[in-house]
Amino acid sequence: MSEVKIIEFEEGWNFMQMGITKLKKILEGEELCFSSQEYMMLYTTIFNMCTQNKPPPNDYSQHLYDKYREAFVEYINYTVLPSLRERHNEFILREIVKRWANHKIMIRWLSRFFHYLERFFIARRSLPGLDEVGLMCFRDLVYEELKGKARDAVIVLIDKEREGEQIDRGLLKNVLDIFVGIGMGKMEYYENDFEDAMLKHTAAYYSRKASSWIVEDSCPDYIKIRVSHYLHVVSETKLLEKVQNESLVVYTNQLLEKEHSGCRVLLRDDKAEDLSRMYRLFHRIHKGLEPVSNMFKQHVVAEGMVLVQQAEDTTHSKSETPFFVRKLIELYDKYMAYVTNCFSINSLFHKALKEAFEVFCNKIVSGFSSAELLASYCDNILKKGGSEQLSDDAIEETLDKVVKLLSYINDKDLFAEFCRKKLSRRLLFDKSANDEHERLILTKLKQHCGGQFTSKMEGMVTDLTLARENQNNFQEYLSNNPSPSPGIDLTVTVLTSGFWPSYKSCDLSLPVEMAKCVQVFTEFYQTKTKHRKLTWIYSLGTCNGNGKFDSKTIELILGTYQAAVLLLFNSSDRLSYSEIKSQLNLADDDLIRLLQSLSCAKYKILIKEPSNTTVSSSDHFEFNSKFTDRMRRIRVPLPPVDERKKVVEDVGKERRYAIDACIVRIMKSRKVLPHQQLVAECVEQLSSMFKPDLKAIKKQMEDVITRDYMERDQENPNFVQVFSLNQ
Amino acid sequence: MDSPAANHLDIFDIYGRYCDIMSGAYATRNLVDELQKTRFTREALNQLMKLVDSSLHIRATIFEEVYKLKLRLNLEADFSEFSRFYDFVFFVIRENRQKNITISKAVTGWKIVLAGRFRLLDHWCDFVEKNQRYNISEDTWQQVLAFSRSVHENLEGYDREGAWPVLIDDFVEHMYRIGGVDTISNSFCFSCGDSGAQPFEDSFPG
Repeated sequence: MSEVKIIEFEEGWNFMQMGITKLKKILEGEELCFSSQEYMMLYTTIFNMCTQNKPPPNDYSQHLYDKYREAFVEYINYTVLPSLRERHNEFILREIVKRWANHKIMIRWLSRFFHYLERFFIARRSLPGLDEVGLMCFRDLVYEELKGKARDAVIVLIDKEREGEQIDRGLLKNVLDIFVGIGMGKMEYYENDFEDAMLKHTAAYYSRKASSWIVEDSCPDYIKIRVSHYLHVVSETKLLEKVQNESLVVYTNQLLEKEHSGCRVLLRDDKAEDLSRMYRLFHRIHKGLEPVSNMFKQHVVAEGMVLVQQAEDTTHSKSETPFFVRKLIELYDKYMAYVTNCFSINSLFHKALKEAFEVFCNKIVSGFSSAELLASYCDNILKKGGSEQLSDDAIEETLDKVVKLLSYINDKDLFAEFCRKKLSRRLLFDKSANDEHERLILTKLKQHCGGQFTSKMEGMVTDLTLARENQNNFQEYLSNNPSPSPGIDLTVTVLTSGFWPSYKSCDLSLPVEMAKCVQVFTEFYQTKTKHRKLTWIYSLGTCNGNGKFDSKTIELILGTYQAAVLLLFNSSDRLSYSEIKSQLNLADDDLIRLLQSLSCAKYKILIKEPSNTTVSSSDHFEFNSKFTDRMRRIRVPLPPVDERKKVVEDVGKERRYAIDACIVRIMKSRKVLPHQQLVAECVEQLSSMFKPDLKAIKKQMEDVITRDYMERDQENPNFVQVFSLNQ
Repeated sequence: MDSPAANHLDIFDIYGRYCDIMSGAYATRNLVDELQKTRFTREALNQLMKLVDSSLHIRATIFEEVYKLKLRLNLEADFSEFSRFYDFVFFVIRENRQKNITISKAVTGWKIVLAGRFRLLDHWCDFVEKNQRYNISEDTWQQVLAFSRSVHENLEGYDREGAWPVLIDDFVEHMYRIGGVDTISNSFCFSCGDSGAQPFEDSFPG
């Protein structure tokens, strides 16, 4: 092998040059190809020139490595760049793509010819590999010179497409592949040389366009499609962000406040579709929905306040109040539909709706709290001949709404108390339209507010059923024992006192006829149970009696008190106020009300002296035998006592107990607490029934301290602790 | 506790016993026996109270007695001493072991005890006489002392979120409402002549 002839560099390189020239011709489009023999020869030449290492100058490795690079440089300078420089716009992109493809072919072939260099020379000296050298040549010479031009051309194309033109997406994809490929696995080139500029441009573009975007919410979707077609995937999120930022975030307020298309206007004009579009747009942005939900809230509050004002202006009597609640329900329906349909039940909007309703649902309307109005509204639905005539389904639906509205009302306990009052009226005076509906509302309330909320009312309904049974037993008892006959038909409704609202019971001296009844029933009741105390509430009783007037007999439907007054006139024709008072043992205000209803109102069954419209203690009364009416049966109404004040007072008292119990309960479990926290926990625990005010809690706390259940901490008066004696 | 002895008892003896009972409870405060100590203190105070009630002479002139006591005691130096005296006053003007004292008694008591120590004293007493309907509890009585110490004449130092009794909250509200916060400081200047008007800067003991 020592015979091998030394190849001089000139000689060897000339041979290589031939191969390179042929390769260039192929790249320029000539129909040539390398035979495997040619390829072998070229490779062998390099091999030989690198391995003839006897005298050091004959190892041409370094020389060849340099020449390898030169081959690229030369080709680029003489062929590639000139052809690129004369092209512009889309054409330069096409040329670049073509040249890039060629360059990669050139690298592939040349690196094969020179492959032996890679084996020892490059590896030993840690030089850049052959592929890398080729790429670097392209990057330094072509890419660096033309990247700006190419980028601009790409952006121009993208703009064209944004404006709706058809473009060669494949071309763009290929160009961008160069930006990615040139980084040799790193994205820096792509990011710095292209993406940055593109994002900036996009931002500028969309900020110019932003105002017209409002209607076209589909923009983000549109971008998404384009990205998958030719942009590198990492740009997608960035691009989306950019677009959103420019077209929405920056313009959020402007958009929302716009005079003709802003959120407020959309709400005002009920543009549901636009609102849902707005929701879809803004929900992509971080915190984007907050301003929208705020506006929603403000809008609902404003609408609600209008209702309050309207009710304030038109409501002068209680009978008109259903109007307000009905309007509230309509308002609720409308905006709940928005939350569901436009804002896809987003919790932010749910909250906004709740907060908005809480604002105006807790306003006092013409002196009535909404708790009371809502209770009256229920009463209207549930009672016989109420002003709301609804089908069964409609009733159920309306009751549902009422319960929902109730959740916005702070004074739930007040509602419960009014409800109970109305329920007792319906039950006792047989005004309830439908038992099922009564149970229905109780079930609904129970679901929403807990069992405690409705337990008394449920007890009332049950009581009435039991009372009917009891009455039957009483009838049976009477028919079996004819001796203790009450003398008149008697119906007694026995109630459990704890369930029902408290009623004033007074020691009316009953006329003998009635006293007999009471006695008979008491005897009967004692046969059933001995451990219960019967309290008679005469104020809730009714009596049907015949009034024998000169012209005809009229059946009178009276309250027990009224009947007691009239019965006195069976034995005397004329009585003074004080005589009546002493015989019946009634308080003045009750008696005045009674006499007024019998002598000064529509039916003048008694003649008052002097004849005027107010009853005073010096008046005299006489039975009016001339009285007559076209009806055979009349109800003599007794003006109801205004119970509102009492209900409110009762609720106030209940609240004090509730707060008290709550404080004790909390302190029992916590032992020591800062004052603030105790207050906060109280509010929290009681909020399902009412919103206790701070002062009320503090008062009860003082009370609990005075009762030695808890004490202030010696060192820190802002802390309270369970009093040690009671531990 | 035989009753003849009670007749010889004067306010100084009572205060002395009161101090013994209270300091006995506090000095040997011991976690294990705390419950017992509290019981013991209570029982002792009840006995003392019976004694006071049986001494008609003291009962009848209680405010003069308290004033005498105040003059005799060296209250300027030590706040804890004053604080105890203040608590004692509530204890001793309570009648028949009731828990609360009437408004008129409380106001008289404050005027004696807090004179020169509470810059808003006149406003306070006025307010209580006009607006309070219920008796004054021990807690309220004690908190008034704390209030008088922590609040300046312009109501600075009052924390709305604090655990003050409602009566004090109402008072502060009332002062703001009558817009008197500035004028108060003027009227305060008159009472400033009293040497004791300096606010106490020493802190609570222990």
